[in-house]
Parts: sequence; C-alpha cells; structure tokens
Amino acid sequence: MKNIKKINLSNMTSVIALLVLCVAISIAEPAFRTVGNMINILQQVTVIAVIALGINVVIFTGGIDISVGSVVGFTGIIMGKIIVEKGLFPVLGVAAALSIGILCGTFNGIMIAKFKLQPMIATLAMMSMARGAALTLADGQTITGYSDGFRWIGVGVIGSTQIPVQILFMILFYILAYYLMRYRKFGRYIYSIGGNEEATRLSGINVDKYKMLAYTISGFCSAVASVILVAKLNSAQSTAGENYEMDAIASCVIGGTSLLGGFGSVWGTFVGAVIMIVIRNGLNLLNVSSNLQKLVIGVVILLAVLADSIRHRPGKVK
Amino acid sequence: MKRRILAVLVMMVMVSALTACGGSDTSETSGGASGGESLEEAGGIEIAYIVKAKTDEFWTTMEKGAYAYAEEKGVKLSFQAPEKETDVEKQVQMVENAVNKGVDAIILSAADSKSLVPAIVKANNAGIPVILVNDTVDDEALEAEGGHVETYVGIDQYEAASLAGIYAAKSIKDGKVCYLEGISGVKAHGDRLNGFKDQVETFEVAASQTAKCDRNEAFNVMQNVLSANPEVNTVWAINAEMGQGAIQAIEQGGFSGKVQVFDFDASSDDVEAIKNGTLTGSVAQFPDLQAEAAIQACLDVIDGQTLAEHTKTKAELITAENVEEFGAAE
Repeated sequence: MKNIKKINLSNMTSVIALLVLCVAISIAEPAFRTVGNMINILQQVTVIAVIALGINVVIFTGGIDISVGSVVGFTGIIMGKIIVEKGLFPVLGVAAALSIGILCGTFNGIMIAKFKLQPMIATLAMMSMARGAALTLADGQTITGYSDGFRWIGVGVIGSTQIPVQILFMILFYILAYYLMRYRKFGRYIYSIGGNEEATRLSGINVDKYKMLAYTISGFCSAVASVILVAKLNSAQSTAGENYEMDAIASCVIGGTSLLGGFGSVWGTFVGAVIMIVIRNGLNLLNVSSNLQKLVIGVVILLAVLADSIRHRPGKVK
Repeated sequence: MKRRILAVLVMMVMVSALTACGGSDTSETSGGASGGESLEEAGGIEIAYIVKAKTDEFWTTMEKGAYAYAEEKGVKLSFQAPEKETDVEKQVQMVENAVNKGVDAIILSAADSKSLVPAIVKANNAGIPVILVNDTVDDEALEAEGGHVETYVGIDQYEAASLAGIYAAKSIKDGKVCYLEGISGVKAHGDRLNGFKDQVETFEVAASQTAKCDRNEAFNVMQNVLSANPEVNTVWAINAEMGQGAIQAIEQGGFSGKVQVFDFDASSDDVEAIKNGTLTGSVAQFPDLQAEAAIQACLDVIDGQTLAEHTKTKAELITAENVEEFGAAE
C-alpha cells in the first residue's frame, strides 16, 4: 500500500522536469510552443506511450520485455497481409493483430512464469522469433494501401475540435490502465509480486497467473501500438518497431518506474514518454543532430535512474 | 492523489499559457510559405533538407555540398537525418516537425517509398513545396493520397547502374555473379539492382541477398556466399559500404584477384580500392551536385517556376581508367 501512496512523489519529479524542459525549449525555439507543435508531440508520442504502458506492467512485476518492438513489427505485417493482400475487413485484421499480440505475450508469460526462464532471455528469444516471422512473411517488404476507415485510427480527427483520434485512444488506454492498477486487485497483486515475490506467493496469491497476465498485457499493448502505427504511416514495414523497446523502457524509467519492480505509476510512464518525445522534437526543431539527441536521452535516463536509487535508499520505506 | 492532480493541472495551465503566447506564430510562418513571396520576414529562405541517415559517406558529401551551396545563395539550411536508414517513423516525424516549423521548402530523400507519402501530403496542405532528392517515392501511392512533389532531383538509378552492367558484360566471360541487395521498399535500390542485372543476363546468379547497405553485414554475407560458391567471379553491390564489406571478405578469404567487384557511390574507400585493384568499378553519383540542384530547385519553385518531373543529375562509372581524375576532382 505504501507503494501506491509514494507514487505522488515520483510523478512530481517527472512532471516538474517536463515543465522545465518545455519552458527551456520554448525560449530557445518559438516554433516549439505553438498549438500545432503540441498536437504534433502528442501524436508522435502515441505509439511509444502505448508500448510503454504494457512494458510498465511487466516491469512492476520485476520482469522485463524486450520483444515489444518485434511484436509491433510482426502484428503490423499480419494486418497488412489480411487487410491489404487478402482484402478482408479491417476489423478482422485488427482482431488478428491483437490476438497475435496476446499470443506472443502469453507465450512469453508461460516461458517466464511456468518454465522459470529469465525474462530477459525469454523475451530476447521472442524478439528474434517475432522479427524473423515478420521479415519472412513479408519477404522484408513494406505493405501499404489501407482503407480510409482503417486509417481513421491514425489520421482521423474528432469533428470541429480537430483533436486527433490516436491521442484519444492513447488517453483512453491510459485511463483504463490506471483504473486497473489502482482500483482492482490486479494492480495490488502486480505491485506486490514486484515488491516481494516470495512473500506474495506465500500469502496465497497465484503469482504465476499474474505474471503471465502482465506479459500478455505487454503483448496486447504492442499490438495496439502497431495498429496506430500502421494507420498513421499507411504502411506496415517488416522492420517496424526496431529499438522501440528501448524507448519504451526509457519512458518507464524516466517516469519513475523502478526496474527492480514494485514501484512506479501509470501516469508517470506517460510523462516519461512525453519527456522523451519533447526532447526529440525540441532538439529536432533546434536543428540538433539526431546522434546528439541520443546522447541527451541517455543522460536523462541516467538522471532518472539516479533519482530512483536515491529514493530507495535504505531507511526509507519502499 | 490531490497533489498529483494539482501537478497535472498546473502543467496543463502553464503549457496552455505558453502555447497561447506562441499561438500566433503558426499563422505567420505558414503564411510566408504559401505566398508568392520569396523572402520570409526574418530576411531569408529556410529549407529543411531531410535525408535517410548520415552513416554513409554519400550523405556527408551531400551535406557538405548542401551547406556550401546554401551559404553561397544566402539560404538558411537545416540538414537532418535519423540515425539509421531504416528508421522510417523518425524521418516522418522530422518532416512533420519541419512542416510545423513553417519552412519555405522541404528537400527529402525518402527512407521508404510509400511510408513518407502521408507526411508529404501534410506539407502539400501547408503549402510547402516538396522536392525529392536521390530517392523517389512510389508514384501510385503518392497519387492515391493526392500528394504532389515539385520534382525529383537525382540520377536515373537504373541507367547509372547499367553503366556498370555494360562494363561487366564486356570484360567478363562466363560470369558467375553475387548480388548484394539494398533495403526493400527503397525504389532506388531496386532500380540499381535491375539496371546491372538486365545488362548481364547471360551471367549465372550464384546468390542474391540483402546486406542492408551495411559493411559488416555485407562482409558476412559475402563470406558465406564464397564458401558455398567459390567460383563466383563478379559482385554487384548497390552501395559503397557493401562493396567494401565484400572486398574485405574476398581478400580475407583468399580470393584476391579472382573476383571483379562493382559497387555504387564511389566513396573515398572505393577510389583507393580501384587504384589498388581490389575494386573494378564504381558508379559515382556526385551527391554534392545533387544537393546543389535540389536547393536550386527549391529556389526556382519559390520564385514561381514549374519544374520538370525529373531533374537529372550526373552519373559516371569510375574505373582504373578514369580514377585519377575523379580522385583529384573530389
């Protein structure tokens, strides 16, 4: 329970960091602080934010999932095959993609919870398998040409407000996740497993089942992110999602999620993802090379992890 | 809980306050781009030059040529690229950011011939002219979305590649060839492959694989191909990095002198290799001249001219015969 109360603190740090960042960049480059750019930023963050949402749950249990990027690619190709090549209803394609995402996630979950494989290893294997599957199925190609109805997810706006649909989807997902983690026993159990797995197991909670669920959710979120990505770009690349797992994990860490498990928040991860995109967007507008951008993000991750370790010094309640 | 909500609210208020101050900027900058005016209020033209990556010497040569010409013409240039040629989403975001910033023109070397189309359409809608350089986009996809580019500046990839193919067909008997392909989805790479291939139809194809334009991958692929097919006597790599990787594999595998390697881009490593005989020929495409032509095309469009669909730039096959003068000119 103390975990959930402490969330306020981690959120504050990342929110303040975001604010300072926005102010600093706005002063350096006026084009940053236009409404158009703000919407741009929120649009650019959707894919990473949704993936981060899934990984976040896994990290809460003390695990890790590096297969998410590959699952994005794989599910994207599945949609491409079904919607474009077979010409079937987009709904079927999306359903198939979500199912594959769930399957990959559950597979990871089984390997980790039942077969006791190390999360890093198991998801590394899935990362390779899913990517290989995507490349083989599509022969390395990109599949384009989706219907307007499908594309609405990625490019549509809500009537007169002009708010992009993808932003609403992202917010909706986050609200759902927040509700799940905060007000259902699922959330409590997940934090508990990450905090002390043995103790949780001894108190009679089916640890295996919840760990599996965490990975299933991660796979599902990757699939959702893939739907948004394909709709946005009007194309599914076999190489889509490469390295996205790194950005997603970084978002979680910057947002205050502890890689040790049991600590962090849903909205913190959202803020973390926004910070990453704000840095990328701001530096891009300031004409800073994307090579240097990587350096900056690395420093930010380091600072976030340092802040995290200070927070968890012995003597403070976790 | 309360503190957190308060924090988020404060953030939203501050951000909206900032955007309220900056709100007027959008209309000013985009107005400058869509009008017939050739100068922005700031007193100069701003061009966003977005390429696929800066990892290959080709791009750094292009960058130098671009900045040199931009300075000559008094144009403000921003040369941008993601870290990898395959990072399509990042490139799309760069184009979107440039549109939002309200630049006067966008020069683009598309990382994927189809995925950049929505971003091009966004630029069209904002009245910002788009000029393609070095890489084309898929015409069908562009038309389907109602997109429009002013011109494509670059060589004719197919024609340029066939220069190497013609040379190979003439100088090699009983050719057994290994193709090192590029990145699928990039039309230029496909055209280069076919340009050479169609000239050497009598050659036996031992292998045709992608090494993703990467030197290390090309080394590995070439090594594997040579172990399975030691009689390979010709290699066509669609870029210089892969050509170099192949050469390394050939030299280290003890096949020195037995394989004629051709590649594309005539990098400085290539020039050295041609001089010492490890590379037979390379197609030079003069990226700095492409950059100049692209920037000039922007200025012409802003001035009100309509451009030809393809602004063709120079391509030349560099071999031992002309490598000295090429090396000197670089």
